[in-house]
Amino acid sequence: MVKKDFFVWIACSLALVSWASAQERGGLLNRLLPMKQGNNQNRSGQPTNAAPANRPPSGLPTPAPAPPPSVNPAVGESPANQNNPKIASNPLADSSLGPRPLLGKEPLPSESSIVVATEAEKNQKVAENWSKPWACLFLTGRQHGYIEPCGCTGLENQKGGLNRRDTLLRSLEERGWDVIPIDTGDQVRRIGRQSEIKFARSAEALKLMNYRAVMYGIEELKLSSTELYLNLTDSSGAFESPFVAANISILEDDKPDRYKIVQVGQRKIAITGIIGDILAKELQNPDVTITPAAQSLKKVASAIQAEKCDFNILIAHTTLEDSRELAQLAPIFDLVITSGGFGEPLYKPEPIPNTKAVMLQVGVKGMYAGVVGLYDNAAEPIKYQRLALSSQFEDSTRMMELFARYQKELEQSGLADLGLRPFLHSSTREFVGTEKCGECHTTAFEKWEQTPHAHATDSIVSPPGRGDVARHFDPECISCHVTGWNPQGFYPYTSGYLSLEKTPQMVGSGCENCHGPGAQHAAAESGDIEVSKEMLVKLREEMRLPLTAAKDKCLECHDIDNSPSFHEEGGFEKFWAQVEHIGKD
Amino acid sequence: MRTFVLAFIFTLLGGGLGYWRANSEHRRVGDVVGETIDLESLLKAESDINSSGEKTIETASTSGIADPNAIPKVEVIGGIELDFGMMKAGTERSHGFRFKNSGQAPLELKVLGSTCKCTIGTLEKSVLAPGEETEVKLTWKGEGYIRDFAQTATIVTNDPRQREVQLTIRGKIGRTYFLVPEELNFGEFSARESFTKTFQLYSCEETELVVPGYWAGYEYHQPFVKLQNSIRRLASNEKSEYADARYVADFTVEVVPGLPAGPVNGQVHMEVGPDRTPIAIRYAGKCLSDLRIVAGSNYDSKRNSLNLEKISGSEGGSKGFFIAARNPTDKTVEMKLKELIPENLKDQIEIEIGDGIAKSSETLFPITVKVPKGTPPFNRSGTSPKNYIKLTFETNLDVSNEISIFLKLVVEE
Repeated sequence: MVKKDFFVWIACSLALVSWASAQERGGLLNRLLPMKQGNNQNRSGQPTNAAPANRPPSGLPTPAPAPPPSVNPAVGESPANQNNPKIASNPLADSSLGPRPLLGKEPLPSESSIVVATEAEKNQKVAENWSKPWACLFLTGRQHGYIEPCGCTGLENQKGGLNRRDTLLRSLEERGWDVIPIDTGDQVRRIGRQSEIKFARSAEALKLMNYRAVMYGIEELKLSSTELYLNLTDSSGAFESPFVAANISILEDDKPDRYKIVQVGQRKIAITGIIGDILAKELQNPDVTITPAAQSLKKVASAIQAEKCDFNILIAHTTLEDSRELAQLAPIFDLVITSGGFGEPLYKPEPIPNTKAVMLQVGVKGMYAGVVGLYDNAAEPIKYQRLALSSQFEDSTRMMELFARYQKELEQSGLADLGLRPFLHSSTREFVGTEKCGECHTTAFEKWEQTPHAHATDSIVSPPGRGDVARHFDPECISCHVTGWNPQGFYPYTSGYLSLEKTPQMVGSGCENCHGPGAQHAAAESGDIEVSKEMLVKLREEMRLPLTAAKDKCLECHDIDNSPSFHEEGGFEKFWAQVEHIGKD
Repeated sequence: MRTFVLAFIFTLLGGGLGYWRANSEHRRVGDVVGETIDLESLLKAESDINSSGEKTIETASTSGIADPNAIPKVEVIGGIELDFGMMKAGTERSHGFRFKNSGQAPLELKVLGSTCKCTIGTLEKSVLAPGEETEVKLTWKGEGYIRDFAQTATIVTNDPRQREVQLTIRGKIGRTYFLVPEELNFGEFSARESFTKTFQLYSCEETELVVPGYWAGYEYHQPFVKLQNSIRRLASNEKSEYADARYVADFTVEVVPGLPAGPVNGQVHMEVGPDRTPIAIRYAGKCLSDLRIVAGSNYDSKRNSLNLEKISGSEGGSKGFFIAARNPTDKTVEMKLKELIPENLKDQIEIEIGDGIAKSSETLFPITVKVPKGTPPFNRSGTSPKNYIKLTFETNLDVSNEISIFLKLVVEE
């Protein structure tokens, strides 16, 4: 009986081994059973004299093999490189997509990429069926100030945010994986005190999440160098900054680190970052020195080579084209993480011609994270998954606490310390408040009261879904949720909203946000000021907003980030129907 | 005997399953085995990638090719990126990206579910025979409220070398008048120094540009923010980037000493053209005082208190902050500790002043508060500044030669 069981067990084991080996390319069965292409190639189509299937861990990933002789060499691949074993030619490299005109610098345009999460993006399976990699890279970047999805269009519809990013990151760490978070920079996108505070809190968040390498983006380099320096060091020397850059110095020559070495068990990963000349030339910060990218990268690449790491990573804060060129210039890198491009990251890594490297994008507005698994499997050294930071990832408590502190800091600063003093409206008129408008325009007022515009301020005092963190001290939220602010400039107009207590009449997104400030018009109509008949008519005319001009006015707040549905075909007409009103009763 | 038969059957079964699985996996990742890959499978795979996410870098997508030439090859004639340049607000522009199959097998194309805000036309043909071409059109309408845009759309293909093609369109929305740059960064500057910044106001009108009025937005800024401009017609070869522009007003903004210390945020207002169109450019920066505390979020500038939190007395430790000092002369700034209150803490904590780090506008002095090992516990926190540690530093500066800070610190066992 024992014998019988033993043989059955052996047979089943063999069957299981066969099954399991088939799960990975290059497995036992694959080697035993030749595929259609014949014996001279393995399943991956590599000639059998390519790197052994189970090569030692060092030197990952396997350089892509040269194309078979019968395949035309990829365009742009020099014969010299084909003969150079150190510079692996890449059969995927292809420039047949025609010329790629260098579009110049790639700052984030005011319109780029829609933030709405698709159904598939709300139901992603994270690194499903991945075995434990020897290291897991977690790639983010280009947050551009979007530290949280604000919820304007429903939290479940929006992508991005540090709180979701943290949840995803921790879920990977909880698998027992060695996770190495890396960021390509651009935490903010504007200058001014609020951006400085936001940058400081973002840097704190990155530190909390144990980011191992963070590149400076061109946007934060426009901020105060003192603020940047504070995030690099403290006077006690106890703070280890994750910031890294091969060609940026802030106040001191050795700040930040030129490269980082991350130890994972017995292996080492080198990470450096570079900012492209095309972006650097526009920077005017006397305390930030940026040296030419090519020269600096070569120097740092030599130093990294001397470290004999198992995997080398370049963070390229520049255009896509420039990222490719820099990688070709210093072909020691296995992976290039670029901040170039405008839309979503590609699903697949892009091979860089004439190098062994592949390139990954991070997208814009911090909406995506890339997960990269590094494996000892020569046939499959890297796995990659692009993940949308959708509502499927819950809010991380520690990030929400940090976000609450950010809001508290804005509250404590107050508008004056944020450098925000009211400007006179371009019409030179002043605001009077919606209730005053309603004294004469009763029908329109009653209509307004039934619209979400009337509750716009309430929705930031107690935000739906995140009621415990108020945002009515945050100028970036206030500007569209009260009356009397410039919606795109994030500053108050003279006589506009200042606080719930000081200006209760400016609560809600009132009539004057679209029609313009009406204090003089109201005063003239009620006889509080004496004006000529012509002036009376002129003041009335100033308040009129023809429907043809209304759409542009709406779009000042209902922009692509906050109101994507407004931008769908017929969006304006649909929403206008909800607020349609007549002028005077 | 029965046992052997069973073992044999199981072995065969396992082997068969493994072989089938190997083949199905092999096909799933899309390697071409001398045949055209099914695009639907690819799209499903893309969808799977989206949801389940396994994505392998295929280091050899040409693997398994019986006849390596018999594969499709996608080519985008004219490139994958297009800059529409300056578009007039409210107008619409389209570009047809032309796809060609320069390979030897049928090329399949499909627009992947896109988040592009642009309008994406349908592909005229979704399967191209070798040598055939087709077009996909991207259309953008320049809404009035935006300044610039960039959008991408992804086309998936069955070309094993290029599974995704990311098309990009970008451009700027032109107005009659526009500013370069769009905002002025004053950076950090001393209340005692002057500096200048420049910007350009472009006009696309054929009639001569006039700017009858311009001023700094705040009345209290006006004595310190001086403006000048000169207007000229653009030469035909000048600024090709702004091809529609005809005139430019070169503005110089001179900031003279006197602005109050703190964040500076203002606007230069202009009235432009015969109908006095209002246009404004924002400026922002920070006016620095001669001596200031620089610390992180634990520093409350209104109370001038810094929370150093807790340090273990038995293990010792240190925390720090900076003092920034500006010297309008060439004299080297020197700094020393003048006073520590309460005095009885002098024997328990050490205050170290590091070498100054020179900035263009000031010098940063690192200040370290050290708690030596074995320091007995004390608590200098709470809500009353009377309980805090007060440090006063003095410098050799002629003006503002002293600065104080209150520290909250708890030394635990």
